This record gives sequence, structure tokens and C-alpha cells, in this order.
Amino acid sequence: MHGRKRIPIGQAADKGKDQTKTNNLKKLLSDFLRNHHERCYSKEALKQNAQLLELNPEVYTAWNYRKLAVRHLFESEIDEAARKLILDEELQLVERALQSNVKSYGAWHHRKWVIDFGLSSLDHEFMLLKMLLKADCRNFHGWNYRRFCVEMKGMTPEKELEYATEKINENFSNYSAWHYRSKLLSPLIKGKENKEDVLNEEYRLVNQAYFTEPDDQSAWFYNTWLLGETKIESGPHVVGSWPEDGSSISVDAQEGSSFVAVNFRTPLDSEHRFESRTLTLVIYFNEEFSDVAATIRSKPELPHLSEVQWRSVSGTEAPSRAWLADIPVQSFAETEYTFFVEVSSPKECQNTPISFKLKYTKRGTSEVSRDQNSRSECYSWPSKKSSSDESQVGMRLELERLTVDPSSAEPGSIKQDPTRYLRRDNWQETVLEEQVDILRELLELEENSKWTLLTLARVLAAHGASRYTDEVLKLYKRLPDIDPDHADYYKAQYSILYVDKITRSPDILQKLWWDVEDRLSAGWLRWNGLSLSDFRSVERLLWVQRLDLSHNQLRTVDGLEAMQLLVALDVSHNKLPNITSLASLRLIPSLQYLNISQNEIGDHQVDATRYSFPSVLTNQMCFSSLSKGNVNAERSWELQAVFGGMNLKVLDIAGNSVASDEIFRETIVRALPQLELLDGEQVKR
Amino acid sequence: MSVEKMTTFQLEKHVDYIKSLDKKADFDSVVMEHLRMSGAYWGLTAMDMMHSLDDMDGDEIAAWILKCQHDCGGFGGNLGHDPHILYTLNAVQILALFDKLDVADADKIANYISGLQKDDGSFAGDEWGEIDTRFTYAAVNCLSILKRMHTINVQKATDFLVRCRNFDGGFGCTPGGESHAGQIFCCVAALAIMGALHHVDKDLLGWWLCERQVKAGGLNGRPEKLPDVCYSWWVLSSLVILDRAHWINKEKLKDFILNCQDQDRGGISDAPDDAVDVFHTFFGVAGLSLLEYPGIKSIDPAYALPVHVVDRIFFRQKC
Repeated sequence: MHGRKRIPIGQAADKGKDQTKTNNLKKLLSDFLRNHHERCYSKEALKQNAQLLELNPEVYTAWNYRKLAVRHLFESEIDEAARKLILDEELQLVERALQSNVKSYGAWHHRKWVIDFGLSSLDHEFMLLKMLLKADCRNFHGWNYRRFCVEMKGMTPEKELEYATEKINENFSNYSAWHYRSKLLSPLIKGKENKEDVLNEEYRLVNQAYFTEPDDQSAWFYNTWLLGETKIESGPHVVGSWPEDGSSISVDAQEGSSFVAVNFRTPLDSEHRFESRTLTLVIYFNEEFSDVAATIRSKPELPHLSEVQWRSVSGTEAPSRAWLADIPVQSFAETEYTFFVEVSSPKECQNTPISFKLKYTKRGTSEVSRDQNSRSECYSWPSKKSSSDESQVGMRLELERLTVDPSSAEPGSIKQDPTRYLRRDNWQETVLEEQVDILRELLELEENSKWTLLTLARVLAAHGASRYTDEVLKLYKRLPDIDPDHADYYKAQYSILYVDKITRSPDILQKLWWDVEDRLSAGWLRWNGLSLSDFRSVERLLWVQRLDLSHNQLRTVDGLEAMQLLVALDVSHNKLPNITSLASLRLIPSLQYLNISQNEIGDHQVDATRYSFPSVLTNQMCFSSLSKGNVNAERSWELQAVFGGMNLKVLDIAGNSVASDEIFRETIVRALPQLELLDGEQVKR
Repeated sequence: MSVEKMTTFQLEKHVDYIKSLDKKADFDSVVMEHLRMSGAYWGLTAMDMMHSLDDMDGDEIAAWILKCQHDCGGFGGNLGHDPHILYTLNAVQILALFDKLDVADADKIANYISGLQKDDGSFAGDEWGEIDTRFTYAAVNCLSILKRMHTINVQKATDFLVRCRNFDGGFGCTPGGESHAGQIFCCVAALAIMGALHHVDKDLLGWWLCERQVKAGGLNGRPEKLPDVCYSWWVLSSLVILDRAHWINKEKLKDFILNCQDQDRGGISDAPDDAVDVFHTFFGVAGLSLLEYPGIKSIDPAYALPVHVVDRIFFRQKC
């Protein structure tokens, strides 16, 4: 029931009148059902059925009955004019039914079914639609029906565009008409010539709308779409790789061991080393692709390289930005190789080959010390030795004052100006600058208009120039005060842009670097206490082995899976709500040390990341693969799905309400066969 | 009405209200006679979320459900009514609630549903050919519960939903149809169940969905429309599947739903002080469940069944 007032207690409805109405409807219903089951299509039966549908057009079976009746009547009537009369009756009934409920799916479908015979006048339908959409300009049944009639009549999109314009000019708040425009225009703006003319016209219309009704959402949403179509974009290109372009690495193999030691120099100019069974190359694109092919060549030539397959980091068919390939180390000879990786699909990929040097050395057993007997109990988390709060705040303020020099090199990736691949042209620049001017003008009229501020932030960001970064950050910082209900949305946008900014500058990254003297050569990239709620930009961090994200506001670690060298991750003191929010970490085989303590795991009954990875629930996995040896799958399938197959040695989960659950701890230990330390205590098996 | 009373959830009253529905013979119940199957699904799922499913007679209900099944395998909305995909889903959902899925012939139901898939991947609601993304959701949810997804062309079903995607990231009834929170739920949940959520622009759609919250706290289904309790489910479940539910003000939404309760007679209405019905009672309780209101069992945002039921379906050990 919609929009019907509650009857106050004690004020009974008119029982007598109500009873008559109820009895009448009941009788119509049972008579109709009897006729339906007896296949009785007499005049009288049809009349009763019509009465029922006029009162309650939602009785779907009653419409089905009418369709059977029409078929039945058509059997004895082959004359087209007579058949048309039968159909006319149906159309008239639908009109009466819609008068009692204009949102009746059954009534609308019946009309389409009747019109599909092709015997009725479409002009009449357009006339009715005109009246209906005048009375209720947002009725989506009406709009859907209009599209149906337009298709039947073979009308041109241009003609319909005129109609959409007419409806918008009547009322700028007609979101349905804006939507219709987007549908009609999408095919027209594929070609560049048309696109500019069409979009210029659309901007004119939309600008008019928000000057007329600045608080109405319709035009602002439409503007966001226009912006996406205008955005200065770049073609597909590689934005990050490991090893990075132009770098050198050395690989030491040990006789009798399947492990190799890999040494490389980071963009921050420190020496890093890790041990692995494979040498996995990572390339990271500026956009997602569902299929990537790249050839790997080497000088001197190596066998089997042509057989190397690329796979997306997720391991599923879903499109991905990060792609991996394993180099067959076993076939190396003791020499220096130069590798070239060239992307062949997507074809338009601009900036390959990526080349790097690899020096291969084979050593005797005694020369290399393996990590195998590492003393994981000595391991300590950066969050535990946290610098004092005061200095963290100081650091944060200092970071905010820093502006990024756009000419500085991108760390951890192909050294280049990040804006190099943007396909700028005059038209886009002009349009975006015009929009900026218009929005600033609007702000002068109303300085706290959230829609204007948000759109300005997006237009500036679409421009792609780093000189606007700080202004956009300021806008996103201001928006939560103006529109607190959506604060977390603005904070996420701020956070994403902020990480983008700090990862662009080696100077800033250097400030966030924490060298530690321990058996792992790598230091920590420390992003603790930065109020991060979301981040992207992992393409510049593919070399990072230890990452400290503690004391932020993260709810997920999605995206980190591209960091295939990651050994240690500290995400303690965040807002991780469930085990499934860690699902992407299962894709990082190198990860051994994980700190998820002091999060909210176990506090939430709603699991919002349940559908973010392949599982039985998403029909991407069989039950049997999960159930093996798991006595309590109903309660702990997530643990098995996320941790099963991970190589963790050290895990800290204290400070989550789930951490005290013994079954939880036991399941974790079972899922992680290599786990040595759980919350600092030796695991007993 | 005291302020305190306004802000608490009247669990017992809602339970009594739902229990009373079956015996009612007023005008409204006759109007809803043809969709009794849906009414039962709404009421019973709400009862389970309110820890009161045991008050209902599962055997009797299952027997009635089977009587609504037709030879083709599909279920009607009530005795004597024609089979339809929507009521077939509801029938299977109710059987799942009572852990009685084995009383139905899964292959027969799957045969009915797969027979409704069209060449373009879409689904008709029944033999009369109405096409709508709601029916794709019903097909996919039902077949997944029955573990019969292989009986349809999942790739084509996905492709059809993608064709219904719009400039704002939302989805409509058919290709070209305007985005609407109800259809968005159907498409997002169906894509989730098919493991194809990557077709959704989470940030764009998440933002559109969070902008459904109006100043008063309630959610609407499309821009510039009035809030309604049913969108507490359609919008919020979509936001949860996309992991963007924190982009709205949950406190305000909770207050809006609580203010739509009939404090005296139980039940929840579309807007404050309107007449209650079982549909809005379910969506109100489900919304509160997604807001983690204490004392209400958790509901799965995609399968629209309590989480413990979904986990039982998919993860129970077979002896």
C-alpha cells in the first residue's frame, strides 16, 4: 500500500461499505478463476473479468485469461476488421485498468501484447502517452512503453531527441527525460566530429538547468555523464611494472635448492632482496583489460620464453589492471641477460617494450644462507614501535603543505611524466575551462552548494593537470561539512587523490620510508596515521615489500594484490569489518607477516565483502573444494576461503572481538599450515 | 507517544501483526490474494529475522506451496493462479527458510526456469513473454539456491543485464529503461550471484545510490522522488553488495524506518503515519537488519534470505 493514511485507533472504517466491496471483489475473483479453469470465454465471463481488472489490475492471472480468450476468439474470426474490434476492446480495458493503477506491470504488458498484433493505430498510442507523461512526467512504465512504440513505428532518434528536449524545457527536474537523452545520444557521440557538436549543445542545456534549479539532482547527474565523455583520457599504456623499465636485478641460484635470491634496487635507491621459487613479472595498466598478451624476449636468447603465459592477478575472467607472468629461471645460464617485454594485446598499448637487465649467478650450497630458519618470534610491527602521536600529526601537516612537482619522476614505475599519454586537444581544454568558469560563477551566487562544489572538483580532476590537485583536495575536504550525510563518500575521494599525490613524489615517499635493521633487507613504507579510507595508485608501489597502513580508516585492502613482492603488511588499528575484507591478500603468495589486530572483525553481522571474491555463493567455486576437513563450514567458510592457501608465518589478530573465539583460532591454524606465531605465541599443532 | 517509544523496534507487535495476517479476510487481503506466495515470503522471512519462525507451521506451509505448483514446474501466486517466475522464486525461498528444499523436485523447477530464458539472455516472467531484469534476478537466485545454474546460459544472462546499464551506473527493467533502485537491486544481486560484479561501476553507482537518501533520512528509488521504506531494502542491499553502505547516514535511516512503525498495532508502512502492510514490514525489518539493529537476524543482501539460511544452503556438510 502506498500513500494511504493509517486509520487512527478507535476510528473504525465503514465496516458495512467495506464488507460489500470485499464481497464483490471476492465474487469477481472466484468467478473469474472458475471460468479460467473451465476455459469459458463467454461474453458474460469476459465482462466479469474486465470488472475485476478495473478494480484490481494486479491480478496477473486475469490478464493471462484475457490473452487466452483473445486467442480463442481469433480462432473463429479470421476477418482483420473483426479481429481489430476484439483488440480494441482489450486496449480500452487496459486504459480503464491503468486509471485505477497506472503502475500495473500486468496492464502495460497486456497493452504491448495487443499492439504486437500490428492491427492497432500507433498514433493513438502516442496521443495517450503524451497525456500520460504530461500528467506524470516520471512514470517509467510510460517511458518504457514509449520506447516500445518508437521502435515499432521505426522513429528516428533525432525526432525523439526533440521530444526529450521539449520535456526537459517543460521541467528541468525531469530525470527520466535526461536519462532518455543519454540513451539517444550515446550512439551519436561515438565519432569525434559529431561528439563535439552534440556535447557542446548538451553542456548548454545542462548549464541552463543548474542555473534555473541549482538544487535539483537531475542535471548534476547528467553533467557527470557528460564529463566522463569529455574527460581528457589516455590510450592504454603500462603505468607500472616490476622489474621496472630500465632497472637491473640480480638472481642468485643455489645448488640443490628450488629457491632463488633476487636482489634489486628500489626507486628510493635502496637495495632489496627476496627469496622465491619463481621470478614473477608484473605489468600494471592504466585501465582494466580482460585479455592481455605480451611477448617476452631476451638477449642472449632463452628457450621456453615464448611459452610464458600472462594471467590476471585475480586469476578470474574479470578484467584486471595487473597482469603476471612467471619466468622459467631453471633454464638460465650464468650470464647477464637483457629482457624485453612487449605488449601485443591490447593493440593500442603505447609504451612498451619494457626492458630490464638480469644477472644470473649460480652459487654453491655454502655461499647462500637461506631464510628457512628465520626467527619469526623476533619480528616486530612498526605499529608497535609507533613514533609518538605528536610527530605523526606533524608529519601529516608537513605532507599537506607539500605540493607535487609535476615534472618529478614517478617512482616505482616507468620513468615519465604521468601526463605524457593524455590525449589533449583544444576542444576538451576549452570545454573543461568553460565549465570551471561557470561553476565558479555559480559558487559566487551560492558558496555552499554541494552540487557545485562536487562538480567543480570533478571537472578539475577530469582536466588531469596536477596543478589542480591541491584545489581538488581542498574541495573534498570541505564537502563533509556541507553535506555530512555523505561524509564518507567525500573522504574516500579525498583519500584516493591524496595517495595519488604522495605516490607521485619520491621526495614524499622518502619521508615516509622507515629503514630498519633486521634480517629482511627491506625497510617499511609507513603510511600510518594518514586517515586513509581508500586508495588506488598501487602501480607505483609494486616494489614495496613491507607496508605499514596501521592507524588509518581502511575497510578493505582491495587492490593490494598487485603488490606481488609484499612480504609484510601492518593494517592494525583500521576499520576492517570482516575476514572477507582481506580476501585480496590471498592472491599474494609472498605475504608472510600480517597484522590485522585492533580492527572490527567480529563486530559486524553484515558482511559487505561477501560477494567481492569468487566463492560458492557466486557460483565460481564448488562446495567440495571448501569443505575438506572443515567440520564447521557453515560458520567458518570465509576463513577457509580467505586464508586457505596463504603462506602466512606470523599473524596478529588481537583486539578484534573474534580473536577470543577458540573455534576461530583453531580454524585459522588449520587453514594456515605454515603459521608459526599467532598473536606473538608459538602455534602448537 | 513518548520519544523513547518512537525510537525502539516493536518486535513483539510486528510478530503479532504478521501472525494475524493469515486469518484476515478484509478488502486488502482479497486485493493481495493473487500474490499470497510473495506475502508469505515477506512475512515468514521477517518472522525468521525476528527469531519467530518457529511460531509458524512449516509442514502446513510447505504442503500449501506444493499445491501451488503446476505440471510445468512453476509455482503460482496462490491456489488456482497461473505459474510465474516471481512466485517460483518465492516458493523456493520459503522452502529454504524451513529447511525443506528436498520436498520440491529441483530439476523440474530448473526446467521451468531455464525454459523462460530467451536468445538474448533475458528471462520472461511466464509463457506470456514479459521481459524484465526482475525476472533475471528471480531465475538466477532460484537456480543458485537449487544448485542448477548450469541449466541456463549464465554468460548471456550477464550480457543482457549489462545491456540494461545506464549513464548513471544504474540499471532499468529492459535495455533503455531508466535506473530505478528496485531494478538496480535485481541486477546487482543477480550479477553478484553470477560472479560478475565487475560489470558494475561501484563508485559511480554507489554514489548515485547514496544520493537516494533525502534530508529526512529515508531513501527514495530515483532522483527527486519521495522516500519510502521499501527502498531501505532495495538501495541499502545494493550498497552493501557494493560495499558502499557507509556512504549514507545510517542513524538517520534507522530513525526513518522506526518512525514508520505502527507503534500500537504492529507493522511498518511506506512513510510515517501511512497504513502498514506486510511488504513494507518485511522491507523495514530487512533494512534494520542491514543497519545491524540489535536483536534482528542478519539478512543476505543478494539472496534476500537470512544469512544463516544461505550458509545452510551452501555450506552445510552432507552426511
